[in-house]
Amino acid sequence: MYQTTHPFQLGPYILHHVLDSHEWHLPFLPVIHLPEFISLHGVMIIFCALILVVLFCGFYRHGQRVPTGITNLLEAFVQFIRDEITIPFLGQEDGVQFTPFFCTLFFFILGLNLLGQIPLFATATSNINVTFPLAFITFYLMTVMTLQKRGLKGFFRAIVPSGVPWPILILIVPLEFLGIFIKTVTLMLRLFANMLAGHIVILCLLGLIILFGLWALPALVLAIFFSLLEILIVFLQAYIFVLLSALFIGQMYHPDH
Amino acid sequence: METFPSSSATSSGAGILTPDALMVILTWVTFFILLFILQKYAFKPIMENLQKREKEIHDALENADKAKVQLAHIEEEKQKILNTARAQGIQIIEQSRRTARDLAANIETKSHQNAWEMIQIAHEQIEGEKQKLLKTLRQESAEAAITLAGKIIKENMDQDKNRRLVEEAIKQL
Amino acid sequence: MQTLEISHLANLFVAVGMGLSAVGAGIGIGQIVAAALNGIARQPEQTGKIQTVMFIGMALVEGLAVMCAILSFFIIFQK
Repeated sequence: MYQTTHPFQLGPYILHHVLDSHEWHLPFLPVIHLPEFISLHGVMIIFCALILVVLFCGFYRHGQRVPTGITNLLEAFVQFIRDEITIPFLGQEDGVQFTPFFCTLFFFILGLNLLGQIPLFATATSNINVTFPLAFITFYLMTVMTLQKRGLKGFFRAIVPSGVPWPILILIVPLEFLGIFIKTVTLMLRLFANMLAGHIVILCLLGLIILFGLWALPALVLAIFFSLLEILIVFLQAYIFVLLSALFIGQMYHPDH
Repeated sequence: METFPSSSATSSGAGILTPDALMVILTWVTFFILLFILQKYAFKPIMENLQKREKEIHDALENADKAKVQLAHIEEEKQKILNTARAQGIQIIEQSRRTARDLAANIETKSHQNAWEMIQIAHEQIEGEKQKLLKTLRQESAEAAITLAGKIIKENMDQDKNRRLVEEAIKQL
Repeated sequence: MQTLEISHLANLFVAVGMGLSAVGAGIGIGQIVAAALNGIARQPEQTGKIQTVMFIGMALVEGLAVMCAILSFFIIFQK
């Protein structure tokens, strides 16, 4: 297909499939031109949000004494997040209050990642403009909410570790303060980089096949294997994002432990 | 594919890291709407259900524990009652055995006494009978001797002399 | 042969950098999994917790390596 009209170039091929664009190529359909204010990844985000609303509000059966099916799955996830992620880091009453937020974050990121693994859709979280708001929410909770809840004194108690003599304190406090920003940036970059790298590797392998013809067919096997591995990475990265968010927020709210 | 699809900003980097404010705002808006909807319609019921179920399990476990403690108490009391019953039973058996032994001893002694008395009475009776028999025997033998002697000594016997001799002979017997 | 341009040299160095970051990730993950294996061998009943911690550590180390890879792509595909 490429060889007849244009010579094949690996770089633009990969970039075209990974970047955000205003066209959506579906097979057997004409190219869908998206309007100017929404791009492909935006469509993915809205699609994922709709799926989540349908899943949680539609498929969940209320008032079951012993839950079965999707109800059981959702309740198992919510209970896991509440008992393993929020309550150990945030305490009992804060943990229960924050659980819906972390649940939404987890399912949102998981949904976006999983949608990207389907062949015709794009991964919204491989766009840094998507992971930045999510990490910024954590940053906001870390700083502004701490100031609101614990006051200025509480904020400084979180930054300053206890029981340290004051000369070292002058060195440590700017580092801790910088650490808040660094933690947020690493959160954002970790998710973005993992998702992007997965897609680039698969596209590279497929591009090898296009470049070298049928001699590179083992690359197909490797591409399939890497797709399977990427599902594991998807779950792991969503879990890590939520876990580290809870950890950082907990460090700010309850600096004693 | 010879031109990169460029987003709104032109920067030195590739298209990967270009900032796009529209996307950022879209993500924020979608996330918060999603959070609001899910919090209201989905997570509140789920959390309530979880808490209710945990409370039910907790209560059921507590009830089970209480029932177990009660059972232990009842077991103890049952053991106590069994023990007292057994002790009482042994006591009763002992008592009855003792009474039986005493009764047996009583009956034995009484029967011994009865037998002894009866033997005594029998002895006395026999003695009485013997005496009577002896007396009748003496009388009859005296009379037989007299008749014999009268018959042998036909004429020499006076009435008085006979009587005096016979009386002396009786006295000497 | 084409003239040796700066961008070609940059690509070469970027490739070397990517290889180094892969080495770092390999050593890091090897150490993490070795420690996890040690822990599991000592106390098999704590396998669940040890596995969880191992995955968390692995994600953090791989995050660094992958960030390095993305920056390399960024440099290679520069306009």
